[in-house]
Amino acid sequence: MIARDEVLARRARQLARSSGSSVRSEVALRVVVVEAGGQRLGLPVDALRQVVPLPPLTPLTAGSTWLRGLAQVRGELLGVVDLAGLLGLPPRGPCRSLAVVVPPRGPGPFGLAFEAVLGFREIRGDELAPELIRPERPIAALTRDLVAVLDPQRLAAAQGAPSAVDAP
Amino acid sequence: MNAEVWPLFLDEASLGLQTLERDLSRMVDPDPMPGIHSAFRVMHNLKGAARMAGSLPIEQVAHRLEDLLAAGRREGRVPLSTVDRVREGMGLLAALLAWPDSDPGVDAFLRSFEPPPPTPPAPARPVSAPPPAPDPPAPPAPPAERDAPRPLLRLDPARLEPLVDATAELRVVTARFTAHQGALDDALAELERIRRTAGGPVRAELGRALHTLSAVARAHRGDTTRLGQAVVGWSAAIRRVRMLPLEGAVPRWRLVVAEAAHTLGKEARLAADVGDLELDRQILEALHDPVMHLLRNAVAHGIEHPDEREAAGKARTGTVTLRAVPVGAMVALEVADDGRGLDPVRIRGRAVELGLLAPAERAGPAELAELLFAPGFSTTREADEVSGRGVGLDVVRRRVSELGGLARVVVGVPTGAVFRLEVPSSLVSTRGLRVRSGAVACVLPASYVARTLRADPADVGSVDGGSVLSPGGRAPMRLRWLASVLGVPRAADPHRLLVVVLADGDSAPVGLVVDELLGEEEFVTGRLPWNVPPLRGVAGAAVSPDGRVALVLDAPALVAEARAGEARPDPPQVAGPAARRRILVVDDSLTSRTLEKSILTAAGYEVAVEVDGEAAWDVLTAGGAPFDLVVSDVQMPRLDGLGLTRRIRAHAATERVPVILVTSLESEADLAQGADAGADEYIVKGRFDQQTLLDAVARLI
Repeated sequence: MIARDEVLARRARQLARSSGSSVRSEVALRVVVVEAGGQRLGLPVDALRQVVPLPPLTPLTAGSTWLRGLAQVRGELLGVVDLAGLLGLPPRGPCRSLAVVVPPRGPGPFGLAFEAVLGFREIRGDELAPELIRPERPIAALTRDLVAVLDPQRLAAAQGAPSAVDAP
Repeated sequence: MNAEVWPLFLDEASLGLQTLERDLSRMVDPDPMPGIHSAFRVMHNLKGAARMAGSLPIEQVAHRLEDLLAAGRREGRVPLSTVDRVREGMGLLAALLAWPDSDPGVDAFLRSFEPPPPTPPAPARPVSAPPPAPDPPAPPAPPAERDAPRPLLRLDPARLEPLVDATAELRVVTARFTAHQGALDDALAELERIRRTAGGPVRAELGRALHTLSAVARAHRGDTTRLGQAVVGWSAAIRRVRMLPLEGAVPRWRLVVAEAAHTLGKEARLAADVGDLELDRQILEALHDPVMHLLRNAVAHGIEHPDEREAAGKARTGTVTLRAVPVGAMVALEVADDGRGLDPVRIRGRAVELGLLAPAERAGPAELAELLFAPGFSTTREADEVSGRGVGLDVVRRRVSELGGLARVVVGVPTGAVFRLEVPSSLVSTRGLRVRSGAVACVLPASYVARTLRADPADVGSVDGGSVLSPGGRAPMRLRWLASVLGVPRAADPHRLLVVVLADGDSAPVGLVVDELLGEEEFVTGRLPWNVPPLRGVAGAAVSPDGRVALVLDAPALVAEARAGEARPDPPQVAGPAARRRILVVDDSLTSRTLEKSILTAAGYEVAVEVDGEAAWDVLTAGGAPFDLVVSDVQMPRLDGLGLTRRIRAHAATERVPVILVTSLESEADLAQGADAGADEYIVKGRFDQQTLLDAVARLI
């Protein structure tokens, strides 16, 4: 976990070095921005099947603490994961929404429970700050205004998926 | 081997061998030519496909068999020896398809063709009709019209999965329609009551509006009924698409017996009696390995060598019988052999070696038979090449149990050995009993539910570390608490225990203590999602008509575990009330707070009530047991719901307690005020229903 002061300091150094190109770069990512554990997180639209109000959960006593339970969306059974818990973030409020995430390289869909949907966003290349990313974490990219973009494949790997591979 | 096309080739070759098996039997018909022609085409296609798939051994064997069948076409008959050679070749092909890298004796088989095969003398039981009269031989003709196979649609089974999911979704939607219809009828009845108390033009206006609404409700009721019937028909159709006749798997099983006998130098045949029974394709595919293992075991461990059989007065060729019969919603498959039978002395000796039995420990036939299913159990090494290729009996039992079935040995048979598998005939929809323990709903397959009963806790004793119930006048039964299966604390036992008696056809039923019976329903067992670890005692999950997920319990495993004494110790009863979630209901209306309390209590929550915000605040800060949630009205005397919510948010001890506001105020401004005060959910009384409240509570705690 990177301290907030360090993040701001790195950002300030980066802005000071920035050449401030006047040409806007292409859209690199399209994400749904959600709130979990008090942080803003981006879920790539390409890996999202749908976002719905959190349905009733069947609790499970086995498995990790971030595994909230079982739910069904359109007849499909899903293991629902607390996104804040999975990322090691302290809970800030009850989870009210669920995203059905389908990683492109398997092993299958899963549910992500989080506090709120904040909106949709297109992230351009020049908005990304790659220096702050750690490859072993599910966060694949960070915007300059600290929206952490999540990698669905790494999210699956964090849950113990057997064949997830980090993106090159 | 071409890995890309191999799966397709495997599929085609397996179907081809099944066709060939049928064609061989047709070669004994008065007109054997259709069978000969069909067999030739199968082998010709198989040879070409094997070349494409890059399997030289299969291509070579198929080529030799094609030559034999071509000779049969020319001569208009296929003698017994050629049929035997074709069967021998089919055994090799089956072995090569199953284990492409193995060497089941292809070179020796091919070398046997190098000198021209001797033409056998006319057999005592010719498989062909006598040669035709001296007319010129008929040119190769296509098979008779009546033999032309029906066109089939080959479908990737994975494409059926979304249809099965849609079936579950449709059932949930149908249940909601039915529930809405009930609410609509109640509302119409209430409006009628109001109309009768009204007077003047209001009564007339209400009457006209009610007339229109009633017509809509009637139409809705009809549509709901038709929707329910359509869903039932859809579900049955999906079930039919998934069903496959057991008969279709027999040729492959026959080959397994032939190949095992060939490898071990024995003589054995399969006699199949499966009638027209059908099984869900997923079940049939899952049974493939377990049945193959039982068949190979029968040949390897049961059937004696031909000389030994002859000396014992038996036919040289042993018989393995596969019989299938319906048993309610299940299908029982029995694999029997006429061999030497189970040797209790050897089984016992091996069990002692493995530490499964103490040397002086007694064990009857049933207990010894159960030991065969212990991991790694085998009484012989010589058959490992055959019976060791597949899965052990412990895995057979586990795979059958995953399907909701059971595997066991039938004891007391006069000759040979009998292994019995019982599996559901369909995975699409099965009847079950839904039960609850704590906040978790579970489903038990109805085929394992013998009865339910209420029992006095005083009738529960402890034997050998486990609980035993001795209901008055009945034989004692082992008892499990569903809470212990789920790994949750057990609630304090009520005055009477609610027990579901599980039985698998054997003599000792097992009792499962639950908190509530929720009713019978049709359910579809789905696999647990990939990110959910295997749950002991749980076979899968199912979507209930109310849209919630219920855990499908592995009834056979629970029964076997309890009988074997392997169950986890039942959790001690918690002293006093169970650790249930505590909810504070605040409302100045007696009707509202009574209704809300009854809904929440029935759902398993512990509920306290207060009449206004000030009284609620006193209780929240009194220092007693904390509350997990507050459900509050807005408009109340002394301190309203908004004021109470602001105080809850402002106080460190209560700031994290979720708050649900339940009120008749529904304007945007009212909703905004609730959110500004810090409420987590806002339920409008005009749109209030039991499920809405329960869903909101479940989301928050």
